[in-house]
Amino acid sequence: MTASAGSLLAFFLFALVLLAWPVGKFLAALCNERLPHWMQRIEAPLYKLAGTEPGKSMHWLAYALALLAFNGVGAIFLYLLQRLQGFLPLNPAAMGAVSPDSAFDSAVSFVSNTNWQGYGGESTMSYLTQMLGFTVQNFFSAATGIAVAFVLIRGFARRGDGKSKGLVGNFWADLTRITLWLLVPLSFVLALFFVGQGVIQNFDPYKTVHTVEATGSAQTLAMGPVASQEAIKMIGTNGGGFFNANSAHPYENPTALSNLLQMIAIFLIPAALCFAFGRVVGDRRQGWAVLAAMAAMFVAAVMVLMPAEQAGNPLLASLGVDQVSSALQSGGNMEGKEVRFGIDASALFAAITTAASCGAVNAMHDSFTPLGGIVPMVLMQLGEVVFGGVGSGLYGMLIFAMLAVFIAGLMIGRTPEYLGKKIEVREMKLISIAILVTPVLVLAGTAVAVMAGAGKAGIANPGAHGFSEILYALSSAANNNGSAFAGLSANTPFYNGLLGLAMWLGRFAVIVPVLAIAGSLAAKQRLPVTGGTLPTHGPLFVSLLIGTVLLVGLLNYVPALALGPVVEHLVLWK
Amino acid sequence: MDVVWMGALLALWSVVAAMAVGLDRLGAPKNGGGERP
Repeated sequence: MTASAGSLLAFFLFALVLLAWPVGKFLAALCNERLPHWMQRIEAPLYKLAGTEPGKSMHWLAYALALLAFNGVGAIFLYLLQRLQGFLPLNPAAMGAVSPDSAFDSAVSFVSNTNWQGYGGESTMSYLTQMLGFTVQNFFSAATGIAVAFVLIRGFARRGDGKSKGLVGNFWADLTRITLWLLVPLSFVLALFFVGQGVIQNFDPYKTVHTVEATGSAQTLAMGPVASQEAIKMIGTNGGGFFNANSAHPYENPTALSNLLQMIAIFLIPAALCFAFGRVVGDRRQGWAVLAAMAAMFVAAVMVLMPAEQAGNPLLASLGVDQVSSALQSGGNMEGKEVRFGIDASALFAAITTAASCGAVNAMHDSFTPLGGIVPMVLMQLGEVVFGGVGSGLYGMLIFAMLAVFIAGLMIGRTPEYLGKKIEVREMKLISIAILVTPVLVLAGTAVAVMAGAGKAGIANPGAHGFSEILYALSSAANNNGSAFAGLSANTPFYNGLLGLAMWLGRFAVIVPVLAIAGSLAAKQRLPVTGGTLPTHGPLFVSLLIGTVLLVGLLNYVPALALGPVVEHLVLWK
Repeated sequence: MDVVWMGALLALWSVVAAMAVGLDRLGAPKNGGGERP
């Protein structure tokens, strides 16, 4: 890894911790439902209007059904908005109705915080659909993920006695508070910053300009309310771009500084939630331990990805092409990368966006070297727990932490407990379901796609790379990432249906068992620490947690990876 | 076609709602938590 790459990574991590710490403090207050009086006074009319009592805590099942009802209504609304956009205002480019299968795919995609895009934003969606549909869902899907993380944290923090036994909080209050006091203010500030950097924010019709070449051809420049969508796209780890080129488009990501802020924004809440977790359970070291495990895996991934891209393509080298970095060129594998950002900022962005379940891209992952491409794929396949999505990263990692203490408990012959809560048969069944849902969706979905004629028809690159494209698409959808390997023509009824199924179940069939675990934990008494308690805040547990994530998360996919990117790597470097 | 795709949305919703109800019963005492008869 070059010195500039190392410096960029070190500065990124330093700035991240610096900014995440205060956000984590505020998130802990939100999770503990301890808001200043003036905030409660502003909230009160909203609850009155909705006819809900924010102080009325729910049983986990009631919480889950409220969450599912809210997101189900959101999906139907988003579907209808896309189908009817041709009759609705804020449509200067006169976009017609989105096809039913694409509308289904995009509705599920944005409600599930995946933001997989089978469509090109500037050629398909009206401004109203982008703002009232996608941007609104960016807020709500992010708030949903954070709310689930809050519930699981409360499950650990509750004493398991008194009137609140087994109750996990109020979904409507969590959703309101997270949106109103966290996501909207952060997005507002970030959107203003992006506008300052050159991200556009307007309702203008598309502009026709003439290029500067002597032949002088005409070119259409897409306009729109981009900055307001861009901010929550990053803060909420959504990732759905206003434009098809996503953060490689100069109107979405104009400068090196906007690129750096976009990367920090993706990790901000996932990192801050670790600090909030430590505060709420009353032991900040627990939050640091989870953060350390995430950071260690992330740094390892970056240290594979960056050198792989800097090494360039050996086939080009054999043709005598100079790929060495110098004052005149960046060197390495620049295919599919923005020259404004170069290899370091593109590779780091790719690792961040796939470690978190964001899915925004500033380079085309399909053009990465096989070794460079396997890293984003593996980061998704680990279950999006290396920082992960807002909320989903933390609750995913805590599921692995419980599995780790269970394995450790088996080894030393003690009933496993984590943060004073016994992990028993019911919790282990639920943990198994939560962990196995996504690998089943990815592997079964990939198998169906490579066997079906409609699935094979979408492959642009036959052979191992075509398989990698399908495996990447299913990994991205089921783990709610949303980035694409490109090359796969996925805007077809077959892929819109298959990926929609994977996105929905990859999101909600994991959330439901996580909420059930939280309810189960909340009802348990918190046991005092004794001499036989496994410490879960030290380097030993961090290593155990990393080992559990790698073994359980990665082993599922090794055979599939061997058929795709591993074969490609061996062919390229034979 | 709208009926088909909106039906698919409702079917997916029903699956996870049923999953939630089913998981609530997972591991619960078969006699409802009361005294064994």
